[in-house]
Amino acid sequence: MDDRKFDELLKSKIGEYRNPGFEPSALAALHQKMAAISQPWYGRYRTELIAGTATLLCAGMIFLGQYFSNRVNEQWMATNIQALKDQENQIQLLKEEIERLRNLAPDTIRITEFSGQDNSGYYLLLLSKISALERKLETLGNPENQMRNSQLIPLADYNAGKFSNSLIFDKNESMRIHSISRLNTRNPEVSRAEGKIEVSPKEKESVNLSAKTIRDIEKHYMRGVGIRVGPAVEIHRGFYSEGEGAYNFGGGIAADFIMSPSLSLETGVKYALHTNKVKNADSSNLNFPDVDPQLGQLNTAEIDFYSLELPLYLKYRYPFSDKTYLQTGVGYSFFIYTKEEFDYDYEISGNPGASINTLVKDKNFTIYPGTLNFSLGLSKELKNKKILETSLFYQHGVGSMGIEKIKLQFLGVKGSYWFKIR
Amino acid sequence: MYREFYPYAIGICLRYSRTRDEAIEILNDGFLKIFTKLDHYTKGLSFTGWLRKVMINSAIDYYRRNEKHYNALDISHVQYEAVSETALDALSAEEIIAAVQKLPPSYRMVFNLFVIEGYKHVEIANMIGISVGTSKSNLAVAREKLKKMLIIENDKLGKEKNG
Repeated sequence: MDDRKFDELLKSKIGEYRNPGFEPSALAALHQKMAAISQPWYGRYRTELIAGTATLLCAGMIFLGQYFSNRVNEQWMATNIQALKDQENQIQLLKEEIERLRNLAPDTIRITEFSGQDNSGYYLLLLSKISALERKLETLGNPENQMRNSQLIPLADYNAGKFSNSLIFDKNESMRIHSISRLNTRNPEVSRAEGKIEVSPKEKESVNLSAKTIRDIEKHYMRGVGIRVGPAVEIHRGFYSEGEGAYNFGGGIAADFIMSPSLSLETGVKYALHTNKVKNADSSNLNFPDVDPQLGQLNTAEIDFYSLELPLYLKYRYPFSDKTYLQTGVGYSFFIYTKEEFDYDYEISGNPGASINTLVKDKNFTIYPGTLNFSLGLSKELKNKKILETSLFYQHGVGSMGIEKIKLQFLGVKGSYWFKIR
Repeated sequence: MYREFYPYAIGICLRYSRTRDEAIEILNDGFLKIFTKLDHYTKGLSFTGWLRKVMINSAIDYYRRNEKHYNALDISHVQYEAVSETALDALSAEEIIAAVQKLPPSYRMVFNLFVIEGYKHVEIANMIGISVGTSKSNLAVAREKLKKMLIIENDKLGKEKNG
């Protein structure tokens, strides 16, 4: 008997063999096996738990960062409050000095006012000193204002006499009033009413500063590398060498290292899902794993891959105003595939309407060549001092990725919410 | 469901295993996959066809898991035997399965996949991680060994009938 006949005979004899009877011990063994691998109640929420824990960790890090940052600020504030108290005493002494001068007899005042520039200068110096100290008082009370109000005159300048030299001296009777009115124009919190100089709270001025001025101010106040961190979310669409991409979401945590007023380096970690549907997969050039031709002709293949991305962006900032910046970036992302799923749809031969689905999973962590990234967006400082950044990004894959060896590109929108750490 | 499909499923698993215990282990692995991935079954299609595929995959997985424990066999002793159609007819399915079970694991696997399931050598090579040449050679050896065993079995049967 030839081999073919032998094979056919055996196949007909044992191919559809059914074992008579049932063994309860087999079922008991199955129950044991199931009990051994059964997950605890929280096992089914494993992914959610991991995501929740990661979020809590990130939130904790942000909270601790804020907490320590606040503690440093508090110490700084305490030192400055003490300095301010000393300055308040000085102001009080100066006010008393002004009052004393004003209450002098008329002849004495005339003599004092017209006897020379030095005395006039001294009087104006007192006024400007009050003004400068009041400004300093407000500035130190609210450090954020230091960045905003470029017209503030540092105490060092004042002491060096720069401030008093900026005043215009008129050698006439109205000199004092004229000078005070000039001071009032420059410094609204100083007013003259009923013969007395009063100090009232200064209203905030809205100052439109040029980009160069903002840069100069930032450069002046910059101390080392600034750090900010925050969550980032994105929606993107994939464009693949074969197949049709879909809109997918991604999210992660990002950190921005501010190197200079115009340059910063952004990095972080991002987790995202990407979907690609390949029609007529049978004639595709892609490398689909574990395709089973016995099931029929491969009709469509839907590829879902989960990636962990480690981006590195060099960003350039250009200020539109003191709170709004235009940002553009270029960078590179390292890509790690954490899971890849291939959902195959086979068309059963001889039965065009019928199909069968199989799912092939690859859960290996695989590192692939990454993507070149480009971004353009805006960042705005919110009222709560946090920064909201939105940008349009484009990622161009370098080389082939995935088991299927596909070339990819992504286009999407990203949003980040930054917390200042330093 | 387990009781309903047990006779069919164990019939498949017996062919891929050396002992009944091994067959039950493969069977339960298969049923575990079926119970946990029932949503992958497409309604309207043959359930037994899907079950058969799952059981075969379980057998392949079992083979891969235990592959390192299997010893390589010397095939130099293989002799070509002639077996007649009537001799095969006389043997029952259980007796043939018992003979298949006696084959070395790699030969048994190739024999089942090629002869009973109808896979090609290229596919078998990919499935169990061997070369196409090895698959062909394993099949040839398995056939000859099986023929030899079936002749012996048939002789025994004849003697029992006569004696």
